[in-house]
Amino acid sequence: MGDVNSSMPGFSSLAELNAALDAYSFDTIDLSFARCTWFDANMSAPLGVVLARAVDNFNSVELKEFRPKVEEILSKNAFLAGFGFAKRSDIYGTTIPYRRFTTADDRYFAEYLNGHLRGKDLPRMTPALSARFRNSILELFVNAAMHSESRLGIFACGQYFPRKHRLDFCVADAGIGMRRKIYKELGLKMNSDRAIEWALQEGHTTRKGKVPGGLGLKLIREFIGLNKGRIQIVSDRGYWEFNANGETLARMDRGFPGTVINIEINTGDTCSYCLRGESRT
Amino acid sequence: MAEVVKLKIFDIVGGPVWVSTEDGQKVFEKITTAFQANRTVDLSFANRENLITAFLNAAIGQLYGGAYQESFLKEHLVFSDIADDDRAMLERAIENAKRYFANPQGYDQAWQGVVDEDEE
Repeated sequence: MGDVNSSMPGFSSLAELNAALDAYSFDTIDLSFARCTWFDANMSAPLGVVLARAVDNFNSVELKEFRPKVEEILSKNAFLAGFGFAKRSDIYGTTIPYRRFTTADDRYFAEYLNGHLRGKDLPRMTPALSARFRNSILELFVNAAMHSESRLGIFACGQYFPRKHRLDFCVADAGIGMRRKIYKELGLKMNSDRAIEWALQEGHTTRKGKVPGGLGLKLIREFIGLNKGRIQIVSDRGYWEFNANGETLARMDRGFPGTVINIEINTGDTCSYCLRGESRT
Repeated sequence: MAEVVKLKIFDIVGGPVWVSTEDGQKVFEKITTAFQANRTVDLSFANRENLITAFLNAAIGQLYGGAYQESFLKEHLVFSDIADDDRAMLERAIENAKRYFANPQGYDQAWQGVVDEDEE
């Protein structure tokens, strides 16, 4: 396991790890982090998906040979607590801890989010910006719960990077991915990068029946555009990123076993604090 | 003018977190029951902690599925105690619902594309 940042190479390396672990069942896996010098804490959510799948395949997974900095990052956000490491206190209060939820946990998830995003050391945001951020993440959770068919649940983690004025939050599932879901529900065949593009269009939804859908992701994209933040979506081999410089759509060599959405808000952009209904001070 | 009944989402859902389709469905059912009793509904958004489109699609969006004319809904459903941002989201959800019911998946075939062998 090398370095893992919130980037296409970071997601690709988790997809590679997943492919490597898929070869094992009823086995003991020792996963070395000796070559990992940095791990973006929010990427614990997709790492959680990969390791949960390995454990679901009746493997025993042991994580070892951490460099002190990486062990500190993954201990502070409670990720390593599930692998026998002691939890460390988050003295700077920049962590929104790693959690695994069931798809029925929407209220519990809201409580977790509302509680942690009111932390005293997280960036001070206007009530409107904070609400918009929290509700965007809730939208991601409910989307994943509704569409992903993730038997192993939904994985979440966030991190505030004070020097960069960035707050990242990642929601990952171990479900069937957008490409397969669109084919299953609508019979539309497309590559996984194109499937992400499809899902981002206003009004596009795999829902059928009396309750409309297909608005949530579009609104999140608009919000992130105003805020000059960033969204990354990984689903199967598809990778899409939207930031202040534009959009990137690509395909990774290996597929991620589900869907991950990482949203990053720019907490240093005071203009974007003036959302509708608020006046600038 | 039909008699007005005030319905509080907070009371129907049993709390301030309004995110799931299931909770949205409860609100939808209350509204339609009131309509059947020939009431105009004043839907209160007071005490909201979280609100997302998945909830609004079920609570309000599905009212536009054909059982009620838009003119009936304009006359018999009003929203109160609602923040500007929430109203903007509600309006988007209503527009999205109208489009959804007017053209269910009709434009999707344009997305049918050539699929690489390794993604079949």
